Amino acid sequence: MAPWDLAAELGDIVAWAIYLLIGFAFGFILESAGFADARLLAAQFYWREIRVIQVMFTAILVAMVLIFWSSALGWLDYDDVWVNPTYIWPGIVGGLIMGVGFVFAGFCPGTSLVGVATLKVDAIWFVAGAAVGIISFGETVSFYNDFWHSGFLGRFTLQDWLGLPTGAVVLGLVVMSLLILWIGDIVRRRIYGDSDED
Amino acid sequence: MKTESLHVPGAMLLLLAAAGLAWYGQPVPAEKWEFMRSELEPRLTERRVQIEPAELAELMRNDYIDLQIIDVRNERDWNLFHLRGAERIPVEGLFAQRKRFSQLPGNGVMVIVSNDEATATEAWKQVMVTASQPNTYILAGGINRWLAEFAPGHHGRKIATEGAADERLRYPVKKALGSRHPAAFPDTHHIKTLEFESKVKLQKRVVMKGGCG
Repeated sequence: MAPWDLAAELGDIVAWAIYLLIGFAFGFILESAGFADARLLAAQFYWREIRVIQVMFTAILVAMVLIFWSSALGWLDYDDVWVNPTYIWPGIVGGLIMGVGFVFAGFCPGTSLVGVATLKVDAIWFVAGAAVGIISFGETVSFYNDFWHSGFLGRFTLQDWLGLPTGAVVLGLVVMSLLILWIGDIVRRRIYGDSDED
Repeated sequence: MKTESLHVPGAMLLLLAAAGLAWYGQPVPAEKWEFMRSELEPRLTERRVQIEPAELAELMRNDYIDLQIIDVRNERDWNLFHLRGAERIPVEGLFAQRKRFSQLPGNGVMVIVSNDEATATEAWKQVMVTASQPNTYILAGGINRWLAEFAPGHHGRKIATEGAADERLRYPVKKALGSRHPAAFPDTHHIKTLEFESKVKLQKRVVMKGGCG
């Protein structure tokens, strides 16, 4: 039953090869969707482009449905799937910082690496800036350690928060997301007119 | 082919899958046990997770181990006698603790105790399927065997080991001493005289972290 410790089951070399393949596929798809272009990424925030939202939401919804169907059929132990523990207050502050940086720079960390792979200068500067930020954080976190660990809620999922069965949460998210994508596209066309996104 | 022509069929497929999932539901602990039986049952049948009282007594004195003793017995037996540092959680209350059990630290060991082994074994199954905590063990022979090993009095020892494993506290505990009973925390001298096969091996829970970046 998944999840599997690939390194223990298949050996380090095979496990690393699989990780490399997954990473390659991920980067390939991001680049194919145009996510290496900072102008396209920044345009999401002005609702001129919704490609990022369409691609990411679709990926998240498909992954979510596959994960929970796998769990329902006994192929995957969902309780053993790593969910980042929730630290609510640093999460909110960190999200704000990242959101502002995303709009300013037109990249998030993952897409900046995609941009670097295609030698985009703005992506290279973004990655350099991110590296400086990461090092600075590491060197200063001891000064705000209490805040960094505040609001700990552990493994906290939507179904825990809402107190609803997993299936209801999944269905609700799918319906809500599809509505957002549909309405968002209508609004975008109304404001900016029809445009050929492809 | 324009991808926009796939939007509606794709959305309908996703919606159908989600609706099917809402109807089908997620497995309850009993169903999960059936899924995981082939992987977990050998640990029970080969007695890889049933630890001797002497080993538990040693763990109680090991400062490097974050030991959690979970006592799943009823309140009456708990009040009569329980191990020092134990926490009473009835079997029906284990599901609510699954998050806590799954987040034991790397040096954490959980030992489930009942009067014999039957209830503790059922509790172990539930913890394994709901919390996937690899460092979970069962006290072999339960409290009855513990008292037979560590409680003073030959007469009590004989009673404790006789009879079917029917989850009754068979040792004649005369007063409700709880963890103040001398056998609740056996002395080092007594532990050293006992031989046992050490079964507790700290297993690291494999964590595959990731982020979307």
